[in-house]
Amino acid sequence: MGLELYLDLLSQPCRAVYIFAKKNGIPFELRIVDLIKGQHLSDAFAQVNPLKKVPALKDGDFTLTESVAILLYLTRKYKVPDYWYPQDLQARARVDEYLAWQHTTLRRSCLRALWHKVMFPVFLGEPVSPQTLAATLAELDVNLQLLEDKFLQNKAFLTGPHISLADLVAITELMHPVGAGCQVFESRPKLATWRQRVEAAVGEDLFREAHEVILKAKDFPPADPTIKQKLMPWVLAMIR
Amino acid sequence: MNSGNVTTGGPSSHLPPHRELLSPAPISKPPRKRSGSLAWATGQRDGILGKIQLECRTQPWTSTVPHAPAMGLELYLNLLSQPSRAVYIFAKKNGIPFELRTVDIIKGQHRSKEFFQINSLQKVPVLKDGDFILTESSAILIYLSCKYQTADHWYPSDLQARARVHEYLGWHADCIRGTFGVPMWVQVLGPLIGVQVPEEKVERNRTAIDQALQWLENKFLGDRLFLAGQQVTLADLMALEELMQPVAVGYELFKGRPRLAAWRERVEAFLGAELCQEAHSLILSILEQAAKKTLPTPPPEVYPTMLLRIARIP
Repeated sequence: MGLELYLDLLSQPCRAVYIFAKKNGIPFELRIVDLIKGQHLSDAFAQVNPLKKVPALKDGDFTLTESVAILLYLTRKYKVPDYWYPQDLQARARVDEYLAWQHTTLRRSCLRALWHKVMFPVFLGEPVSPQTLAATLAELDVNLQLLEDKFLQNKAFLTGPHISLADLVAITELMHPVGAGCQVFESRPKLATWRQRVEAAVGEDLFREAHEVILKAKDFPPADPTIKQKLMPWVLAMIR
Repeated sequence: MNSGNVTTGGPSSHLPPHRELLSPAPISKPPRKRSGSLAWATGQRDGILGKIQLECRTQPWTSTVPHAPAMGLELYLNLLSQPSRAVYIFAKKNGIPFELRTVDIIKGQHRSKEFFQINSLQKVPVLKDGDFILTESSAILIYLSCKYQTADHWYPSDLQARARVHEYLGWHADCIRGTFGVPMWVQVLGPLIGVQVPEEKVERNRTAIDQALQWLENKFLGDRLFLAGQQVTLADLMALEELMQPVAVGYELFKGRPRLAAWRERVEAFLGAELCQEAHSLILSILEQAAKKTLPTPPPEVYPTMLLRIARIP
């Protein structure tokens, strides 16, 4: 068995891994793990990843979780173009810095924005108080500002003149609140032009393909009670 | 005052001396400032930092000379901070020469205009290597390991071994970071500004800590010697320093977890008792300092961020 990637394009980190593998022509078997059907909670998937999360990579006997680890593994194993994760010490440190920062900040805000604005009320039928939603969107705002002010500044891409893993991870995160109907780019021209550059660098077709699912999140039919009961503990733990 | 010779004295006096820095142009020492504003680490320590016997000579970095010559490596740290300790220990263990810039978090030095120039995110640790400024402890550790070509085991060049380190660091960001810092906020930092965290949040945090420890022991450690393999890596350092935080306020994390306890002993044995003592003595004295009321009073401008942090406790 060649490389297998266990993904659900509903998930931001999965989108980054998917786009990266496709863009770099890395051959893989796609194993869809349908999150809203709770497939990640199944015993079968626990055999692949006992942490019950996507993305997961299986390369022969070697199983790997955590999207940044997967992206770096693919980068090194498949010898992709240097700009994704530059050899230059300082340029690479910039990418490491972004990938570390985003985990507890932008990533968290984007996830909560989707769930508080759309997934809880629409998919799970659980109302979210206006205060909770407001707080989540305010936090998202703060992190978007930091993205612009500390990372992007006046550069073409987050860590320099070329696209890198940082941009890929960031853009796939930002599509989460976009999918929830948040105006992420409309009032932020700098981020909007950056987004255009990233999409062009990735390839618009690939970008669109990877984001089909998230852009339909608002239209997911409500979960049936069994599914809802199954998913609730996981959802609550995920967005605490 | 500054001879340009950076060494560490005190309990670790047998450690190899750091390289001599070229003596910079004379910099006039700024007048001693009021507490609450800048008082960068010098050879002396007061108050909360009094226990550290380091003789790290530091240049007062608020130089009155506009174009001071480039320094060597500078590390802006606070040993109360878990990621700061990981960076500190790594640099010391590997004999990496650096100027220690202690940023007094409790006094709010990280919120100063001057520190904003160093890191607009107003956090530690920060690395400054000439003009190059780097934040985020894992990025700093990776940078140091590559630049100073530390022993391979820290950040293995083997594809799968290195992947395991990143796998740990990813999970750590989700499940350890944030969670393991809470007890300190509950028991020491909140009370310092008169805030009491509700018991239900404390309980929820305890459960989260327990669950994380289970994963740490079962998935990452398993029957291996260390978290990402059979040798010490950056993962072990990051983990250990996070775990020290609740330990410092009395959480018996290792009780009933013999494998994890054995791992901790192995890591500390590898680092060396003296280095561990040096790095941990501040955090391990925190409860005593709090009880004796010798902790600095946070200035009012720090309250909003402290309150925000406390509010984020789930």
